[in-house]
Amino acid sequence: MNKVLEFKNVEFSYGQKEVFNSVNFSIFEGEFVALVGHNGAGKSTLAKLSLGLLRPQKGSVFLFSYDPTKFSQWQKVGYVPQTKEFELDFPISVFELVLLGNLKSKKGFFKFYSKEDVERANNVLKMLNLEKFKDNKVGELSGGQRQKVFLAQALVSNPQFLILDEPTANLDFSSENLFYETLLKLNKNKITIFLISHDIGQVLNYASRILVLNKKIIFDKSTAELSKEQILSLVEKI
Amino acid sequence: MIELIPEFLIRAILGGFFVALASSLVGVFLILRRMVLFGDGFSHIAFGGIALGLFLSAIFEFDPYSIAVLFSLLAAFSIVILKEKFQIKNDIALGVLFSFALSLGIILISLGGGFYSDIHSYLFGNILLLDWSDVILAAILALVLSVLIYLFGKQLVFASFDEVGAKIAGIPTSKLNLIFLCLSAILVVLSIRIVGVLLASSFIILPPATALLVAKNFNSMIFYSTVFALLAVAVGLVLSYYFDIAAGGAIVLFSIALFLFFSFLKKN
Repeated sequence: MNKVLEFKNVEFSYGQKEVFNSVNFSIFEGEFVALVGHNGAGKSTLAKLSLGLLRPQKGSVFLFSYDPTKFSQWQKVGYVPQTKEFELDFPISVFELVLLGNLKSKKGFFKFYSKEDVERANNVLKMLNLEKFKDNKVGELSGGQRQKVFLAQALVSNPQFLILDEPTANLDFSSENLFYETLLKLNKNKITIFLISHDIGQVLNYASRILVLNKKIIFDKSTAELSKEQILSLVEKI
Repeated sequence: MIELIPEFLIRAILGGFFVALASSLVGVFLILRRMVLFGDGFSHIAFGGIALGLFLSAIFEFDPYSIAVLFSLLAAFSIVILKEKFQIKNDIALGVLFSFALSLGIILISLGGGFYSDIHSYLFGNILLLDWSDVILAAILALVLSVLIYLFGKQLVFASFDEVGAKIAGIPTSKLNLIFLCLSAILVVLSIRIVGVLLASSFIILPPATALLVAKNFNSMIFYSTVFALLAVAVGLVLSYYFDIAAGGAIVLFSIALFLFFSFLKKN
C-alpha cells in the first residue's frame, strides 16, 4: 500500500521548548488513523508539520512522497482545523464557503469557477445534508453544522487524504457522533483519514489504528487488536 | 440642464462618486480583514507626507499629495516586509509607522511656520475644490479596483476568512496583501482631498460597516457598500449646497445616520 503521510525521525522545538524528539510513523492509503495525546503534547504542531506550515528542525516529513513545503497537489488533501476563528457576521454563505475549496485545484494567479466546481459543491452539500442551509450565512449555523460546512469545503476538491485537527472540540455529544459517522462513511469511500483528538474514548469507536503522542509516538496499534487492559493503560497515558 | 450646474459641482459629484465607489470596495476588505483602523493609520502617514511636501515646496516645486502617496506606499511595503521578515503583526507595524509619520509631520510644521495655515485645508479637505486630474485619478482607481475585485475577490475573501486555509490552497496571500495595502494607501490620499485627514477613514469604513449589517453573502456586501457610499456622497453634497455646510462633514454624518438606522433595524 502507498504511504500518504510519513514522519521520519522528526524533531521540533519552539525556541528552547522541545515538542518532539524523533517522531516516526506512516499513514497508508485507505486507513482511518487517530492520533491522541494530552493537551500540549504538540498534536496541532504535528498537523502543521504535515501541511508544510512548519518545518522540522531535524528529520523529514513526506506528504504523498513530497516535502509538504514544496507540495503543490493540494486538491488531494483536505484539512479541517480545530476551530476557525471568524466574525459570526462575516458575509459569506454556506455555498460560497464550500466553493472556495475548489480554488485548491486551480493553477495560476487568476482562478475562476467552472460549471463542474458548482456541481461538485452542490453534490458535497447534498452528501452532508447541508442543502437546506446553502444560502444561509455561515455564522448563523450551529457549531455542529458549521463544522460540517468546513468538512464540505475540505471535501469539495475530491481529496484522497483528510487531516482533521480536533474537529469536534466544540460540538455536543450527538453532533459529535454524527460527525464521526460521516467520517466513517468517507473512509469507506476510500478516503484516508488522519484524525487528531484528545478524546480517546470516542476515537476508539471509529479509527482503525491509534497513535499516542508524547514527545514521540509511544503507542501504535490497530484498534481491532486492543485488549481491555491496553485500552485502560492508554487512557492512563493520556 | 447640465449647463446650469457649475463646473466645480460637476467635478465634485463625479470625483465624489468615483472615490466613493473605490472606497466602498476597499472598505469591504478592511472590515472583513479586521483592519478597520488601517484607514486612520494611513491617513496619519499621509499627513506626514503632506507636511514633508509642504516643507519641501518652499525649496522645490512639490505637490504635497504626491509625497503623501509616496509615503503611504512606502508604509504599505514596510508593513508587509515587517510581517514577512520580522514576524511583526500588521497592526503593530502600522502603529509604529504612523506614529513616526505623524511626529515627523508635527516637527516639520513647527519648523515650517509659514505653511501652518495651509495644513487646515488638508485636515478638513474640500470636495468642491477637486480638479479634473483628481476626478480622472479617482475614475482610474475605481476602475482598477473593480477589475481587481472581479479577478481576485474570491482569493481575498478566502484569505480574509481563513489565512491558513488560503495558504494551503496555494493562494499567494503575501502578494495579495501587498496589492491590497498599496491600493488602500492611494485611496486614503484621494479621500483626504474630499473629507480631509481627520475623516478619510470614516469615509472609507462607514458604508461597508453599514453593509455588514444587512449583507447575507459577499456579493451583497459589495452591492450594499457601494450603494451606501454613493448615497452618502449624493446626500452630503445636497446638504452642503443647500445649508452651506462642509461637504466632508455632511457626507460622514449621513453615513453615520445610515449606520445607526440599520443597526436599530437589525436589533428590532
